[in-house]
Parts: sequence; structure tokens; C-alpha cells
Amino acid sequence: MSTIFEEIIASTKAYYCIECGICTGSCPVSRHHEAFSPRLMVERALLSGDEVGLMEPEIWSCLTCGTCSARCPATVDYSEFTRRSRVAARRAGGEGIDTHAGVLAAMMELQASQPEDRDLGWISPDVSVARRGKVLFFTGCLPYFRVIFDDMGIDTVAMANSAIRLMNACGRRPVVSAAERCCGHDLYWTGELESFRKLARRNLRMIEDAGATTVVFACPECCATFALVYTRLFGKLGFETVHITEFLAPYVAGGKLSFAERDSTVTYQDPCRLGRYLGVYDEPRALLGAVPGLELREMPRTRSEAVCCGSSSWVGCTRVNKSIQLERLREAAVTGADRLITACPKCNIHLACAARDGDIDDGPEIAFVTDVLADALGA
Amino acid sequence: MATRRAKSGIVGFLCSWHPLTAADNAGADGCRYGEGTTFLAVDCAGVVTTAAILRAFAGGARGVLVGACGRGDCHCANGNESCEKAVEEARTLLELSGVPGGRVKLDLSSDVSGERFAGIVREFEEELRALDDSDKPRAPRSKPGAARSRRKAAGRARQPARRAATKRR
Repeated sequence: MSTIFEEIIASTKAYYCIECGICTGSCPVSRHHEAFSPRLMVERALLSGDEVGLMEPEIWSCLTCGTCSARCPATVDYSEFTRRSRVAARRAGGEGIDTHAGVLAAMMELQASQPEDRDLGWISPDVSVARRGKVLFFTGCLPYFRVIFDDMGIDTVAMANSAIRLMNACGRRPVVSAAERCCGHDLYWTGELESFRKLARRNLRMIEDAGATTVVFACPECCATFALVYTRLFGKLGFETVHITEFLAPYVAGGKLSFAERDSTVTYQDPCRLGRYLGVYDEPRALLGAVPGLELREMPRTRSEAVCCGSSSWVGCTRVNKSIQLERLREAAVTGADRLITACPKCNIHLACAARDGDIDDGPEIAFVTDVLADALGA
Repeated sequence: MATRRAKSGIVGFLCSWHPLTAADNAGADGCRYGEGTTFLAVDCAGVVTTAAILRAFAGGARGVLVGACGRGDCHCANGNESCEKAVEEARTLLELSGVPGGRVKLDLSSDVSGERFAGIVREFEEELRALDDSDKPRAPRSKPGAARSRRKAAGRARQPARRAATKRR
């Protein structure tokens, strides 16, 4: 009879570990928290037997950013190890860690249980949406984030409206459905599988009802959840899933979407779900490159080597998370860019928060890719 | 599905200083208010978070009543004011999810009269009943393979919701 962790280790190929230490050297958490290491996490799990509670500090420290797995010569899936351990921890009665006083987790639970349709009053009157059609825009939690992060000056509703505006500029009127729910990414990654499945089923039914064949996401986490997790749980989806940058790139390449001149120097933060999980690196860069006058200066650690924004699934906002964020902001400041552009609303929130709290002099302003591109639509 | 909410009760978070005393007095005086009300005593209304209110609704609550001490009367400096902020945030988030913000009521009062307290609960029940009535019957949900009829029904049901939402803002 194997222990809980032995099963998790077997399923994530952690037995193949050759103890080279590359994971520890790659891990953004290990850099700032000397007691943490992906490899040691697995070793401690083996020693803890079925005492899942002993593993709590480790499994909630991991960011699941996937930097370690991307470099691991034995292709150990540490993020999946963390996730499955979190599921085990929840089953053993652990409560997990909820930042922001639990409001984001509560919001997801509410969406999983509530029968009512969403309010679509946030949609700007100058954008055009449809009720049924081939292309659907999945908003995710963007309207909700504005309520919570408004005091930080982050307007996630503007990000969603910018995305729709860009799709309109391509001649597409996307469906935005009131029956949409949170994709459940954070519940999935924090071990709350029951509510996650409820949300997933509702979303799949909503898309079927809308008759969409392409679903466009502004949030890479939603996109990765549909493309990687929904497919694993429910089989092949009856529609294509693309991030907004993937959706727009062919229009720009085909000359159907063009931008006005915007003189500015920017750098780009690869979100972990979009980059390492979905392998989308070129499309955001191609779009930014299509704006005349916009100069993209890469940070030293970029693409699959990019550093995580310091927090994921609203788990943990400690000294370690802040240190990771400040280190990344300093790296961005060194490029001399005026703006740090990201393609994930959560990277945007986390980095903007760190920039506000930390003393980063002359650091770049944090901006979202759809806002930057939609601003360049006008003359 | 509106019936699900109509059947369940009110969850009340009551500060253990004035509001809980008022609730105790209401019981001692034999004041009547509706059945199915669950009161939770908290040390100060300041500990009532947005998440706690949302979780009450996720658990099927029909309405949430937050009882805080009157302005200037908080025993923990300003818990009643910080709970006002949580209530406001919860209302906005609920509205986005299609749940009327009126399903959350905040009572800031240092009056410990049982009759007054019972009156507040009865008044809230009236307000909730009005909200239950205004909840339009919804399109029937999922029958496997009946996607087309669902789409039509969903289209009809959703359109007025969108118009109402636009008007409100």
C-alpha cells in the first residue's frame, strides 16, 4: 500500500529526479527563501508518509510557475506535484492560504453556486458585442477584479473592453455571455476540485449555447485552463481556444489590422500560463512590434526563462513573493523601458502592487497588452 | 432557480456589543420575526469581511444582515466603519453576479431595543420578498441534446437582464 505522496510522486515522474539541483537554481522562490526547493519538497513528501499536514508550508510556497519543470533534465512535473499535494491537503482538512481576506476564493465559490446570470453592464457602449456567433470573448474575472483592485488604479474592465475593441477593429463582433462563469483556474490549482468541476461544466454549456467555434481569452490562466485542464477532464472541446494575442496576430500579419504611431520604449513580461504552459511567445511580441515607434527592449530573463510575477492563484503574498516581484521590476527598470507590458491581468495586478509598495525609482509603468494596442488603434 | 433563495433564510452577522444585545432582548421580549434566520455573533462588525458575506450567498443564503454599533460607538475604534466598506464591496460583487445588492442589509445602531431589532428583521424580510417577486422565472436548464431550444430560451431570458443592467449604471 503506497502512501498519498508515493502515488503523487509516481504520477508526476518525480522518481526520475537525478538530484542535479537545476530546479532549485531555477526556482524564483528558492532565490529568496533558502529553506524551499522543488527537489527537497519531493524528498520531504516521501519522508512525511501520509502526514499531509507536514507538507503544508512547502506546497503553498510553490508558485506553480513551471520554471523548474521547463529546465528539468528528467522532466519532473513539479507544478502538478504541488497541485496534487494541495488536493491531498484539502482532503486531509487543510484550509489552504487565501490572500485578500479570501474575497477572491469566495467570489469563485459564489459563481460556482449562484443560479443568476452575470451583469454585463460593464461593457462599454462604444464596443460591439453579439448574443450568438462563431467567436466568443471569455471575460473571466476581469469585471470583478476592478471592484477589488480599483484603489490600486488598475482598471481590469478597461482591459476587457480594449480586447473587444481590438476584435471589433478586426471586423469581429464577439459574443459576451451573461451565463459565463469564472474558469476555475485558481480553485483547480488550490485543490478545490468540486467547485472547479461545477464552473467548468457551466462554461462548456454556455459556449455550446452561444454556438461559438473560437473562444478568445484576455487572461492566459483562463486560456490554459480551457486548453489544458478542461480537455483533460472532459475530452476534446468542440471549439478552438486562443489568447487575444494569438487571435490578433494573423490579422496584423495579413494587413487587416494596423496601428498608429506611438513613440515609446517597452519591455514585455511573459506570463507563465501563456509562455511556459501554452508556448505563446511570439504573438505578443509580433503585435507590439507592429505598432510604429514602439521599441521593445527585452529583459535578460525572457520567454521560457521569464521570472514569474511572484504569486499565482492568490496563494501567498509574503516577503518572498514581494522580493520576487521587486527583483523583476528592477530587471525591467534596467532595460530603460517606460512601460512594462504584460499579457496577463494577474501579472499586471501583482507587479503594479509591488511597484506601488516598493521604492522603485524611475521604474516602468505597468500596462496591459490590450490597453496598449487599443490605444494605438486611433490616429 | 430563484425559488432556491426564497426557501432559505437570512444570515445575520451581529456585533456582540449592541446588535447582539438587541437580538437577545428581542428574544426575551418575545418579539416576532420570521423563521429561518441564523445569527452569528462576532466580536466586532469589523471582522465581517466581503468574503464572509459572499460565502453566505454561496451557501444559499437569501439575504445577509450585518448588525454593527452606531457611528462613534464602536468598542474597537472603527470596526463599524470598516464593515461598511466590506458591505459596499460585497454588494458590488453580488450585483456583477446578478444578485441584487439589496440582499445585503447593514444596520448601524446602538439601540438595544428588542422591538426595534425585530422590526429591522421584519422590514428586511419584506424587502427580500419584493426581490424574490421581481426575480423573473428563468429559462429551463439543460436537457441533454436540447441545445437549440435552450439557446432560444436563453436568448429571451438574457436580453432584459442586459437592458436592466445598462440602465442601472
